Amino acid sequence: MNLMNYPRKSASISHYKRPLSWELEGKMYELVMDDGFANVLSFRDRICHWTIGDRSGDAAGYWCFKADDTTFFLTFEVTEEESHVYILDFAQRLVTRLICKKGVNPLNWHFIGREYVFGAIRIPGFRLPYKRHCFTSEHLGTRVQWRWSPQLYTQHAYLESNFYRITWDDGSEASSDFDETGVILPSTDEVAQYVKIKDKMVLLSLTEEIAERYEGDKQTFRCDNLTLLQNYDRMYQVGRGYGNVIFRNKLSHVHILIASYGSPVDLPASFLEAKNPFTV
Amino acid sequence: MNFTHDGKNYGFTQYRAPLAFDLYGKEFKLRSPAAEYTLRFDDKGFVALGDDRSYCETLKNSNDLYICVFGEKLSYLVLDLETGIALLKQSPESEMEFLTVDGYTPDALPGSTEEMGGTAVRWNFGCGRYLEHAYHEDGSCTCIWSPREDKRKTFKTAHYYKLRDSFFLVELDAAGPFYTDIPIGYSTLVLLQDYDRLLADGFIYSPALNDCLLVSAYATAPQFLA
Repeated sequence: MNLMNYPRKSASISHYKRPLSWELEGKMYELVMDDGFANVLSFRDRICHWTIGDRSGDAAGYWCFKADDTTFFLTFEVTEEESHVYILDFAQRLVTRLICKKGVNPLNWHFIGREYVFGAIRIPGFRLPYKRHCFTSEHLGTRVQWRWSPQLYTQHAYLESNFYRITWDDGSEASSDFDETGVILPSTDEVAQYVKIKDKMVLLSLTEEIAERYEGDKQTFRCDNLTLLQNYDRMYQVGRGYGNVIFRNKLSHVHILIASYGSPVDLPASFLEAKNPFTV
Repeated sequence: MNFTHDGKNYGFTQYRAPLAFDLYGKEFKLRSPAAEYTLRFDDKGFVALGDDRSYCETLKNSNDLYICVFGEKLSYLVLDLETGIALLKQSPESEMEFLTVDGYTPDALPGSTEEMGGTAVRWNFGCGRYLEHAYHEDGSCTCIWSPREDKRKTFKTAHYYKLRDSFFLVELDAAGPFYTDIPIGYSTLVLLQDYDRLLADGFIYSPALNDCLLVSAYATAPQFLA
């Protein structure tokens, strides 16, 4: 049997997701966050118990990946309306927390609000570092092809600090998935934020706000947030997708693990130099 | 600044997955009809097999499935905690041992398999760096090494083991031609392959240098081998 024809389920952007890491099991971490609220994470029986100030909860089935030997991408859902992401960077003893919430926009429930807080991990025997992860523009000018599955690859250009731009060519499955978007919208620029974790490691969080604003109910995916920890040393990224999808006329919640492998790509000047039509 | 540059910082080991330390602090009893071992991960980056303690590197291929490389003799272990099975090879010259873990009694221990015959795959180890393999029904393997698509060789030194559905271990002695992306001298390949997610983890080994390099790869359809 040709095992390339193994009857695998189509997993789209989750296809190459790496196995979960359980290295944090049995551990507890006090996070000293810059918003002033005590934040504690403890991991037992594959459940993350968290507190932020007066809030606390159990996050059953936390998902944790490693982006390199000492950096963890941790995510869990508090409810379907609230998703937490922590980047735990043990080499530098730093942490970035991203909380995504649905239903915060009074005009459109699908819009996802995003709150970033930076901080440090208190490790006994070590001083709390003064440095922090930070929003960055160092990577602007990066062009990369991300392969999500044997058939699906997309090409990203990071040209502005608050946007990313995507394209694909005819050889990719994306051409059949996304071509309608290209007809309706004047460009593929979308809202994004970038956080520098360390040299050659960037946290990218993109939210499909512009497509939602323009297309609304015509879309299948409604303002999804993809948060990806990109390791440019090793040229792969790990992360999660969060939002809503309309499937068979029914609204469903989305919370999936995603990953892809990168390679350099040449993109046409017409794509790279086109003005972002969504900014002044 | 374009962070991708030419994306070749690590060459053939570019896509190597992060090392896994999930097993740190754990101890396992490995048993076969002929042998019994205590396996202890007593410190991060170290493993003790019986009384022999050595540095180890571990990659995680799937939830509860690991491949560890350790010891001066280049031992390696595939540990499947889901099925309670382990494969252990204590040196490149020794035979593969099939063991149970912690008293599990699986329906059947893994062994050599012919199920891979007919598979043709491209394993991508880095940006533009790949191996194409065609695994034949007679157990041989035809290889192409990037970037030399013109040179293909067939080897009879392939061993295939099936762990469980979609998970296979391939062990191959395959000295490639000169001027390929694989470092010269690294002729032995051990690759734990998952054909469901099309991901693989393992190592390449140089008998001459007595050195191994951990690798990870994703699979796409081959372009040169049918």
